[in-house]
Amino acid sequence: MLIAIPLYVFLFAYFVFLAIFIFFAIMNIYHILVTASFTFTSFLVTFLILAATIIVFYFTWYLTRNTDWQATATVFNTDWFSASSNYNF
Amino acid sequence: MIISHLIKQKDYEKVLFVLRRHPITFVPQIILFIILLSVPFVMYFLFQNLYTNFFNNTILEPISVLVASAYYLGVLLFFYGQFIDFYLDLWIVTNDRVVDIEQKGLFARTISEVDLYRIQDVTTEIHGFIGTIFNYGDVIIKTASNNSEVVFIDVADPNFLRHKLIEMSQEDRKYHSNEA
Repeated sequence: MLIAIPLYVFLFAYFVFLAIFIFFAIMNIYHILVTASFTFTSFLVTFLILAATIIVFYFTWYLTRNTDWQATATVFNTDWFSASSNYNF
Repeated sequence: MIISHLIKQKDYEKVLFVLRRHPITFVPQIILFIILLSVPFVMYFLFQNLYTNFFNNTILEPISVLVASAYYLGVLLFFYGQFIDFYLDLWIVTNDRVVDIEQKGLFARTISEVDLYRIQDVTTEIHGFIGTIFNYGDVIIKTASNNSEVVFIDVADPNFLRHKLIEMSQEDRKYHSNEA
């Protein structure tokens, strides 16, 4: 038995995580605004977090720009086990 | 929003202190953040030395990039959440009352206030070597009316605050006794 899934499934999972990330990041910024805590310190930390997020996005795009997302990744194959059980010591 | 809106400041009220935890108490979270940031680099060098072809694999490489990216975003979010939890704990002292705003995680916040003239006892606690060196600690305010207390956690210069609170409480008590 072989289970193979296309790479774009991982990309979709990543986008779902991204949506959760954006939701929580917005919630954090909202908290800063409603609790009268928008100061230089909170601005600086928010700016650094946003800058780091943009850097992470850039490198993610840069390192995966030539990826063929239609390619399939084998996540389970019974041959792996049969190959190891037939292994001759 | 500004502080006067947050506490619904009265006409005669003046905000005297806006207190937060001492910045030095956030250093452990910064160290943890740096350690967490370095984990993928360590993993990368480990995999490159143990499995030389790992990052040449056209399937594994993009998956590992996505996992590393999600990990970094998770670490950034975790650090930001820690900062919010640290920074949004706020104590506001006015010439009329003490307002205690405590952020508990992302979806819980408690706000309580104590009138200055009700303050019965103010205690300071400075713990440990770092607290002594950087002069920060807890200020515990107990009221006369019930057993409730407000605690300023890890604020800078707690002894100065204790003096000021006692002084202001006595002044406010005089004002309220004259009024009665």
